[in-house]
Amino acid sequence: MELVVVGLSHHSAPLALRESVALRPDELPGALEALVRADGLAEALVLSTCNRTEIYGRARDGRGSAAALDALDRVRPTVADALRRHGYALGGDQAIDHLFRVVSGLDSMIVGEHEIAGQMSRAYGLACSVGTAGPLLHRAVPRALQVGRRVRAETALARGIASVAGAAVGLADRVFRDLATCRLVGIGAGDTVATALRALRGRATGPLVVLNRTLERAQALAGELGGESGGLDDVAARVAAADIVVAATDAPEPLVRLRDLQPLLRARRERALLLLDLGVPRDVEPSIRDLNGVYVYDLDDLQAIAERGLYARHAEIPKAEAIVAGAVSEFRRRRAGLEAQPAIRALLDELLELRRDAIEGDRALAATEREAAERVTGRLVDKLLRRLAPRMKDGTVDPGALLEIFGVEHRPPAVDAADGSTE
Amino acid sequence: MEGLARFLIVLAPAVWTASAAAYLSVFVREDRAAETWARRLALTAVVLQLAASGTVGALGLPMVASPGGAIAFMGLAVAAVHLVLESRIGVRTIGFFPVAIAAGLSLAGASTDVLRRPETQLPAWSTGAHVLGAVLAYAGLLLAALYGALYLLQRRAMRRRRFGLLWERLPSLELLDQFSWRSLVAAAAFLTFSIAMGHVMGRSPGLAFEYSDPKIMFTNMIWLAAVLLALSRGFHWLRPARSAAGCLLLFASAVGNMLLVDLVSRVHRPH
Repeated sequence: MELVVVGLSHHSAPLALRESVALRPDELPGALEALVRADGLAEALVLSTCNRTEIYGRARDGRGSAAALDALDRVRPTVADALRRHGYALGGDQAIDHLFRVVSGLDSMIVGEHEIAGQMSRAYGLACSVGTAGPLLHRAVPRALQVGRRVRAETALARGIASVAGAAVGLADRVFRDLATCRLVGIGAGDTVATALRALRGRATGPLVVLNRTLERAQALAGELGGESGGLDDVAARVAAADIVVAATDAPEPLVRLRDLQPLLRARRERALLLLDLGVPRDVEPSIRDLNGVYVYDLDDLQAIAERGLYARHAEIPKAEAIVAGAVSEFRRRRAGLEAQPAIRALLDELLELRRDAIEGDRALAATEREAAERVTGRLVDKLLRRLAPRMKDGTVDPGALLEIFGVEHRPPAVDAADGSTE
Repeated sequence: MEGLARFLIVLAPAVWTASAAAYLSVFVREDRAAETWARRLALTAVVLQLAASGTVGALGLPMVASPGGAIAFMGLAVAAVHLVLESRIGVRTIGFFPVAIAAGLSLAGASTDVLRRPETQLPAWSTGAHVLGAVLAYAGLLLAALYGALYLLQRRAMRRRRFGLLWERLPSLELLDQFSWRSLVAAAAFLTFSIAMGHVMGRSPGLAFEYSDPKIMFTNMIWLAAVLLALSRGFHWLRPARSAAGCLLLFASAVGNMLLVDLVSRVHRPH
């Protein structure tokens, strides 16, 4: 029973390709069923996020990852083709290692991000509900989720700020006690403002206004984030009424000017104002930084915060790698132990058979001598197995080769994909 | 009983110190295991300190009657208030500061003879109330100054764009400002109470005093400044940074009043 994984991620494919192969949530149940029906995989799980699309499973006939690609070929030929050209296909210990690394956040674009563990948990839940998760996935995925939790608890890999959007939230957190009551204003409706506002909106559920030259774009973003929209006519008044402002436009001159803002700020009393100027050229006049209670930060500041966080996270990678390596080795040992059980049973039966043949074949033995021989050979078989079984379990002795020496014909138990029971 | 009292008086600073060390680990390394232990140790220290006060009280000596006992009790009040605030806001990264203060004050208290009987017999209730009020007022001023100092440090980090350890670990400016102001309000209230009790106490035969005494005048000035500062911040007449700086100055004045003005004053001396 070997875990296989085929997929592509931010390491191997550009964003456009990742978007083209990503599966929508409503497509996943059908895709899972089709993958198992397609005769290549006995078990299947699909993990599809914005940074990776991966299929985890167990090949039916021991063909490894080729079986997964063949199955995918029958279900989604275009995706299979993209995976062949830009993806990776792993099997056995490499696949287990990959699974554990992915769930721990070690393989993520932002190292240590923990959203991936939730995504994997949901993917596994779906595979269970559709019935495409079998004994191997039932063992591997929960163990991977456990390892992910351990990595997050025992290392600082998932702590701190590691993105520009996260830095925006971090700065807001250091100014305001409760972001939920903060009033947000976005100046511009491009990707930069949208990303920062989305991150802030996760915590700041108060009023939100998106101001933009093109009203349709402002309306679209405001609609997505549950706010109002407006033009750039009364920027200063909107800013003076806000708590957190995110600005990123392509305007050649600053839109937030000292002479407009200063008179309006008197009405705020001492309530702080956080201005995140992410535009190049700047949208907030630099002299505004000198105003009391106004905190202005630009893209460089936010990047500096994110880089510091990433640096701290990277320092934790060796610790996390060690946890994952230990878990992979432990998983392999347990799996080998489980897989060696039938071979140990077959070897025991064969040794007992040889013993019976040897004793019963010697007709010259008296009854008392026969009893003594049975006792002694019984102990011998027991000692032999006690020495061999642990080595068969940890893989230092190949169970198949050993059985071949004794001339035992051994067939690994077949596993039914639907209910996971062994025949 | 005396042996038990001495044992508890010595044990409390040790537990405070262990808790401060655990909180330091939380501050520097965000150590999750230390986070749990830091709080447990601090709560144990609170219980030990209260038990020490109770045991000393059972010997007929109010804990706050001696300077050492009052200092240790002030540390206890500082840490206890912070532990309550900490459980309400869930921020455990700044626990090191108040708990380290509690450890230091508890150690200073333990190094004096807490079990020494006072030389003069004063009315028990008014003395106790006066001293307890003063201790709690000083604890409030100390907390207001501590949160004010942390506010100024966080503000400085943000103004100078120094996104280092302090910036990461300290909570929001708004929170520190609110904590500082609330501590100041509590300090002003306790100071008012303590001064009133001191006036009642001063009428007792053994302790006459004059209103022109430097100690009385300076204490009244500190009280006035505390009330004015609390009101100015409460009505938003004063910016948070100025209020924080004011709290620091006020605490420094209170310490000066306690240590220096006492030297030239006739109050607190038996006649």
